[in-house]
Amino acid sequence: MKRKKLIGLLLATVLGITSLAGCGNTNSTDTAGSETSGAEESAESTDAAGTEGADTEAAASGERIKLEVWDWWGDGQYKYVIEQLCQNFNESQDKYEVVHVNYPWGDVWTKALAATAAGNPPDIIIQDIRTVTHRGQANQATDLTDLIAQEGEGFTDQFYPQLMDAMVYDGKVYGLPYVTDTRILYYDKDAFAEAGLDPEAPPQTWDELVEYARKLDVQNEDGTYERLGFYPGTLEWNAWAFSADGKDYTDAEGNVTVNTPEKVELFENIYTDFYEYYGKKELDSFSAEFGSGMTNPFVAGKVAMWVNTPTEFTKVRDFAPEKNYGVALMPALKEGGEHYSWGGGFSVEIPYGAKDVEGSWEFAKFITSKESQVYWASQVYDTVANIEASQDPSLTEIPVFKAALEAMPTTVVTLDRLTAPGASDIVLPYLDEIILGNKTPQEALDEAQAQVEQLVSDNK
Amino acid sequence: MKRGMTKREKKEARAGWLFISPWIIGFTCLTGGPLLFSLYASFTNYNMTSRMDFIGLENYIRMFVKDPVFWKSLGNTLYYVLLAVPSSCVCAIFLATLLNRKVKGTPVFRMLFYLPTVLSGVAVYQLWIQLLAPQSGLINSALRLIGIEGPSWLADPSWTKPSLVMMRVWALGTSMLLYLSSMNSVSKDLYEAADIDGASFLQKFRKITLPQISPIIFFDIITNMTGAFQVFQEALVMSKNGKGDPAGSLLFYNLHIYDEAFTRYNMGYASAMAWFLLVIVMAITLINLVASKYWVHTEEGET
Repeated sequence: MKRKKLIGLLLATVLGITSLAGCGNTNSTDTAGSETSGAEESAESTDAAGTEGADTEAAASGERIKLEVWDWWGDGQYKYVIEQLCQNFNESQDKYEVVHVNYPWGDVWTKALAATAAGNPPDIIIQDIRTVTHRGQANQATDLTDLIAQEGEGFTDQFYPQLMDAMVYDGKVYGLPYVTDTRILYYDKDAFAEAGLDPEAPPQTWDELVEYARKLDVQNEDGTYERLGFYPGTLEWNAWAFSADGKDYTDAEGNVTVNTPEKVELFENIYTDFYEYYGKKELDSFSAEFGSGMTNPFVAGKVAMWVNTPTEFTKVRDFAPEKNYGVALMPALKEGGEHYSWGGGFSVEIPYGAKDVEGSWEFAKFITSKESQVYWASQVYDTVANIEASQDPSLTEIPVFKAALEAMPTTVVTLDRLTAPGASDIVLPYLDEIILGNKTPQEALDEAQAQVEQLVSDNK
Repeated sequence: MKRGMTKREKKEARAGWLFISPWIIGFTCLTGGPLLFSLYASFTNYNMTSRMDFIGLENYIRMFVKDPVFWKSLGNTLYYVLLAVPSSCVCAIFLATLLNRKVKGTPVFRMLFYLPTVLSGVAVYQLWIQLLAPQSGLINSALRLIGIEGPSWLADPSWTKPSLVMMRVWALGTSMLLYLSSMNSVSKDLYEAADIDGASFLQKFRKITLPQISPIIFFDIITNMTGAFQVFQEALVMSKNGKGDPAGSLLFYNLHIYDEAFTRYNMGYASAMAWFLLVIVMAITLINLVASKYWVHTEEGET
């Protein structure tokens, strides 16, 4: 009896933990669900298209091949614009019908990965620009090199070169750049005037930034802050590090540049001028109350200067149309230095095994074309990858676009390199330690440098 | 022990198998295959789409020697388990004891305390993010009333894990119900006899209630621990960047697995990590099982 009980208990434990050991499996069951639904959908679409792969037949009979584009633009302006673009594409030809399918941010890529692994991928997907090479190497994205060659000389020249570079793995191209972004400085002109600063002269260097920030601070009687002159926490610490010297943590040759003197200096500034000066807890409490909409701190006048994406201006427009503000390049670390900034972005890819690469390619070309990109930029204010589109006069009239365009040449677009996968995730906790005051910037960045060097040598 | 089963025992055994059959069928038909597959994958460089080459123990070596955040994620998870399991057990027993009193209105309280268990997922985490806001959050506001300046919970690495533990303890309804029902089934004779002997409430609780419900405590600890080792969603949602911020204090084991598997496509490595976790949990369970002989009371007096 006793033994039986023991076995029973053991069995119970095993059953309890199975879901855990099969972590991957929990996910695969979960994705199995979505695959089935995906299968159903594609079954429907093949039904709709009549016989499989019979393009001409389908076109002749008026039936179109249904393609799915996957993204996370599920609401608001983004949803409207992507659906409009799909519609424009569908009206521009009669062979394909593109449908926009959205999944939550982050989920969409996991789902697409599982679908691709199962051989039933979406037809087009909007992906993270930092990791295109990973998907190229892992055979998750279709090699577009030949399709690009068919377009003739100079096709890729229409995109920003640093973005196009991110598409290449082992000499082959696995995507087209879609949008990018940068970070610019927003400042409250009325607050500047009130503090006796020139509203037309935003800070150019860190020293000026700190000096102005102090003048713009408004403290309550109980010691808390009614308004902060500058709040550095809107930018992820990694992005601050990249903006110090315009260098990613690693380069294509495997050189590691985590503890550069500029990065160290920038973090000394952030720590001493802000987190030590105000107190980490004070800043945390202050920022924990940041909300969106009306309570967005810049909109609400809680912060007089901050660094944010160009798109951020739509929030000011929507919630405080009267606000008198200006935009400028990010402050340079030193007098006369470059105004480096950081950006990410997204790419358009055709997952490996997509059923109709021709059609997917047509759509990829369509949404990265000048016309579509101007439309996209004019509606959602992203900085688009198509150079001509991004410089379109109708866009540069908008002040933030002008600033963003100016910032582009000194904006570093960082990559998650195959030689150092996850490097920024490794560095980030060390940057946190600096901000917490547990380590000096030099110590923390030296340790992070060693970690990333190790990572690079492990992946050689 | 060697004697054949009586008719009744046979019948009971059949019923027993029938009762656990959903799990057995599910295990053999659904989870079993992928489970074995992930065991094999853990010895390969599987990335779901292009490679699956046998690489021997390399994943395991990487785990123990090379991965810069592996030990950190394991440490974070153990810290969480050690904090979460005992506190939710103690709180659940405490609540069950209170609710076991025959006072007017207990059903209402039972419902109230069980309510959080029904709620789940991201909505609850969002709710807690607001409760834990350093300035305007309900928790710090309440602390301020009694003169304590609360920490900035989710922004301070030393308070992030306690925050998640608090959230877990808040949703202990299931354990509480288990304790409640087992307390109800403790024979009244024992308490009567203790009353006659003049035992105090605490004495009765310690000498009667606790030993009588000890099998449930044991069960609760095992299941709770298994659950706590799997802490994942909370960290994904409540850490600012979804990767264990601040200062990697919410980088739990399963979050690390998830990251490896689905953002870096190292499915083989992630499987190896999952299997190592299974080994850890099994080992702890076995230790518990052995130790239980000394503190778990069984009805038949077999121990």
